[in-house]
Amino acid sequence: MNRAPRVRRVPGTASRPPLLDEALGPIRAQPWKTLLTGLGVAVAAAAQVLLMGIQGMNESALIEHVRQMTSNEVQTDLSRGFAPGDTPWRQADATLAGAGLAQSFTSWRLQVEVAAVDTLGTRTPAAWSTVALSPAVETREDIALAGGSWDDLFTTTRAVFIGTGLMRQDGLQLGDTISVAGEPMVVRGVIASSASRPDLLLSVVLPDTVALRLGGVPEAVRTTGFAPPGAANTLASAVPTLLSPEAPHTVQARAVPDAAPLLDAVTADVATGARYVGAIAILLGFLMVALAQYSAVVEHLPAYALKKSVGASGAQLLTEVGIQAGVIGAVGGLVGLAAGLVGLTAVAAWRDLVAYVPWGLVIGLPPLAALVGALAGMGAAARAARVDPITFIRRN
Amino acid sequence: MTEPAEPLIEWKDVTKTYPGRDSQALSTTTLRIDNDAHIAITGPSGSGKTTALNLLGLVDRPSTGRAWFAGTDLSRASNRALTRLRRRIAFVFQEFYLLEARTVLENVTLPLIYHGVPRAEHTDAAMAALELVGLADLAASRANQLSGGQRQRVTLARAVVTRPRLLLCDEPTGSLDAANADAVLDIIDTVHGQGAAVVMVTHDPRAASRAPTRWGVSEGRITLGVAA
Repeated sequence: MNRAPRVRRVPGTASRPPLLDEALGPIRAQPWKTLLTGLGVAVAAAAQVLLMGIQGMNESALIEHVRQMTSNEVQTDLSRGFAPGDTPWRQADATLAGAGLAQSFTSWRLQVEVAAVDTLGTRTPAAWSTVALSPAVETREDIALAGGSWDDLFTTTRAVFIGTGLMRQDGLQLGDTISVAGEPMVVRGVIASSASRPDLLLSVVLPDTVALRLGGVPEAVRTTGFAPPGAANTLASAVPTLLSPEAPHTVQARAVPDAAPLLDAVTADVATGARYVGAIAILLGFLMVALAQYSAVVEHLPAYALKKSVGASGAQLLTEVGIQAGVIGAVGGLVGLAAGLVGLTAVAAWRDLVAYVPWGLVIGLPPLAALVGALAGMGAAARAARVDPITFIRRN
Repeated sequence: MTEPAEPLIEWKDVTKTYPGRDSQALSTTTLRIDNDAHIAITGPSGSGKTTALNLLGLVDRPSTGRAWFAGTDLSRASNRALTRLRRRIAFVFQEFYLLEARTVLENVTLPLIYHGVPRAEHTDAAMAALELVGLADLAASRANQLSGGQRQRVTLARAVVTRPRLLLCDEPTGSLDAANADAVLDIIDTVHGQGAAVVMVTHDPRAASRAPTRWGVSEGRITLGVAA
């Protein structure tokens, strides 16, 4: 008759395959040894997290530096201190062009009633934004027309342009009549694209002279132009005095950041170096796990010989050691991830930057580390699977 | 007239030569081991006993000749098929290898894990095997707490837990005193009585005398029917 043995059972093992339990047994029995074995992967993982995180923070800092170095658009706010048509306002384009600001033009928004007018003359009020432009807009290379020319707008009586967004959104077309402040206007052109002024794509555009005649309260009065590279900040600081020598405080001018191309190039340079370091870290982690796992298998060859002698197949031992190595890799990856995040937080606090967490890496690192561990353990697993039990046991 | 029963193992002109060695580790051998065989093999060190055990235990394949196990032609069997057949064979070694940090029950359960036996059946099967060797009371003890005789009985329990068709014993009493050796040989007799064939390599005349059939090995040649 069988007697119930007083055997310690590990909670939660009933549903696991026995082979998996056999693989995890040494890890449960010696968790600290597992941690030490996985140290290589942990260091590699921490290095990856730190590298990518610091790289992210560096990029943010770089963006700021590069923006300051490469901005060349200067935006001048004329909303305060001037009445519509005042001299500084009317002369802004010419003054700023003389100071070296290229493609400079002035614009503002009008608060006037606009309405669609059908063929029968019926007016349907619309909520279209209305923008006035100075003739210097025709020098802008970043604003493209799909229909008409700037001359059509500034030399034809009762002409307006519309943005391509209004065409798509409200079905307006060239030749349509719309009402602006009660005056009928004909659509003579379409603004197709505008890199620096996307608001124009959803606006009705008027010549500045027409806008001044229609009156209304102007909003967002501004002149924009481009300085030579690196001179935007200098020019921006000089613009208030140029436009309003008596009351420079009424003019606000600033350099508009646009450093994307240079930033991409610099980021690529920085990232390439970091990726090399990261790849080397992974390789070192791989080698450390491989060596540790191989020496562990060699140390326990009698146990593997024994298992083979009681019926374990080579594939089973390969699986067993592979699982162990994968778990060691995953544990190392998690430890390294935690250490890396702590390190990142510390670096961010030290450099007074917002910590950048590479979420893709955070999610992908544990399975990647498990894979690295499993691959690193393949040599050891193959050694365990090859053991010849009888010869080994008789000789040892 | 009834046909003779199919043998458990049959060799025809089997030889074994290892790469890099001039001489044959095992010379041309033809033999037959029946399902109820109880054979003792004796011979000096280096005579070819290990080679014979490897071949009988399906750990190695013959270099030439043909061999069958339970009707399966081993020269045509895949490695996977060999692994399956090997699970019908149990080994007992002189040095009674156990996993020291594990309990007696866990040691005896070990083969069941690799044989794919459901976990629910492990404890009952292992306890039955421990009952057979008289160590059920020590199921929860650590292997490293056992005496030499107890350890060898545990290896016997581990060997029979899967109910093998062939028990291959390699000097099972070589490290035991007379009393423990007798106890182990008694258990082996019991296992044989329960239907397993037994092949025992031994230097111990007393162990050899228990077997009704005795073979000798010398310089790679197996001699069948050696006198006691």
